Amino acid sequence: MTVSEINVLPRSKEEQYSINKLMGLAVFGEITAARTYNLMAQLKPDYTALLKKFAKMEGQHAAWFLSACRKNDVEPDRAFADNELGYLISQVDAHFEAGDFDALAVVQGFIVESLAIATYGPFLSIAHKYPGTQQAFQKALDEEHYHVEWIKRYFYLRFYDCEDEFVALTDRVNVQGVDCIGGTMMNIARLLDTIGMSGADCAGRMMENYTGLLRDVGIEQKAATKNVVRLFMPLIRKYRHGESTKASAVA
Amino acid sequence: MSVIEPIDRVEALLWSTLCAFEDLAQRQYRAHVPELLSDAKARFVERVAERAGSSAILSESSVGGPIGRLLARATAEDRAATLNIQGLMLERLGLVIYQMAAESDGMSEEGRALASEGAEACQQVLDRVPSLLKAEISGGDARLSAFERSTSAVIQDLDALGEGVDREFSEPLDINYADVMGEFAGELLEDCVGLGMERRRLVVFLTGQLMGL
Repeated sequence: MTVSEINVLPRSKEEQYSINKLMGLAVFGEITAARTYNLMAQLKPDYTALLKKFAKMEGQHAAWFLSACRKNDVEPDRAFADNELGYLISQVDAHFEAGDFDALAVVQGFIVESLAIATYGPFLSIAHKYPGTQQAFQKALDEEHYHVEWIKRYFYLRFYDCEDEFVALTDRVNVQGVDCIGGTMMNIARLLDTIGMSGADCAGRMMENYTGLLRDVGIEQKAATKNVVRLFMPLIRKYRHGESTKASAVA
Repeated sequence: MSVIEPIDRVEALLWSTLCAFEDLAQRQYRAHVPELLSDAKARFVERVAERAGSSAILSESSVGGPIGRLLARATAEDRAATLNIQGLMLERLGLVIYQMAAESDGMSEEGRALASEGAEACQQVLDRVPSLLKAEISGGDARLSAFERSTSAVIQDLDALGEGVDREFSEPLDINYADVMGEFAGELLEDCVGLGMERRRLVVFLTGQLMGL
């Protein structure tokens, strides 16, 4: 379908502002995810081929999203995305330099993917407003689930019968990881509301998704819930009080 | 009346805070859910009141205002709302705080012992709430809708306690808002799921209320 065949619905200035930022985060977030999976591929030769495949899929998501932006008069806001993703990239780099594959798997496979799944799913209910996005987001969502399933299986096998080590790993990675990605969730909550989604719904889904992942690997449900809520509470309070969740201010 | 050893300001403030919650609970149960009144809890509340001393310490503190507003908001008009707000939610919140106080190195020995009693008293109430709620409202969806209606404003008001709780209790007692809320929400979710409420909808509801949305 060509650009001229698509009817872009008129949208308010606020919606345009919000969708530019959200799609900026989606496009550049996917590129960042591709980079992270490529770094992970370097650390585990046994999984190099698979993780490179994951990276390629994430890169494709970025390309699909970018194409959808062009068809819908959406200008992905790179500055906004850089602001949000900088903290994540520095964490990823630190874990990579330490050769810490498991930490990267928690950050990318659990925390980042939880954010993606928590937002892509609900986006489908408003995708009709942005022609061409339905198929792209549905396919991306399916593939994020596929990545998460592999990461879950990896952790399950890696930490079978030694869940305490997995708890220690998540304790080590979660504080910074959830502060970063959960912080982004809070920073986009109002933007999501503006385009017709619900920031609270997406934030709740992200918390529930992440809790479910921890549970599936072997952390007891209640302990997982408490852990995740405890990590999110400072972020929720900052959101409530209109404060930025990260050191750098969000426009 | 037993002779009470002088206690420090922070501990007195904690007891004064908990006393305010317990006082509301007693009044609410007496008005709407007498089955939840017990002699053991009544005796415990008397002891907490003795331990707390003057309520001035609460009203003059940074938590006084937010707690006053929260308790006003938590004053329910009927049995179902009382079961949800007081029986299900605030008893759980109380239990979490008593448990943390009972384990706090910053508390006196007597304070820790009293906090343990408080936790036990809350647990006894919590054990009785599910059957009463099931009898009052049938079906998980209906119970969740009632829970949302009754507790929404109260949960929203919990946020106002955060700053005061951290300022007053975090350093001396190692009781801070994020930990309390993490423990509270985790337990409350399980309580509610046990009553047939849908987990995801609950999580989204709680998150939305805490975000003030």
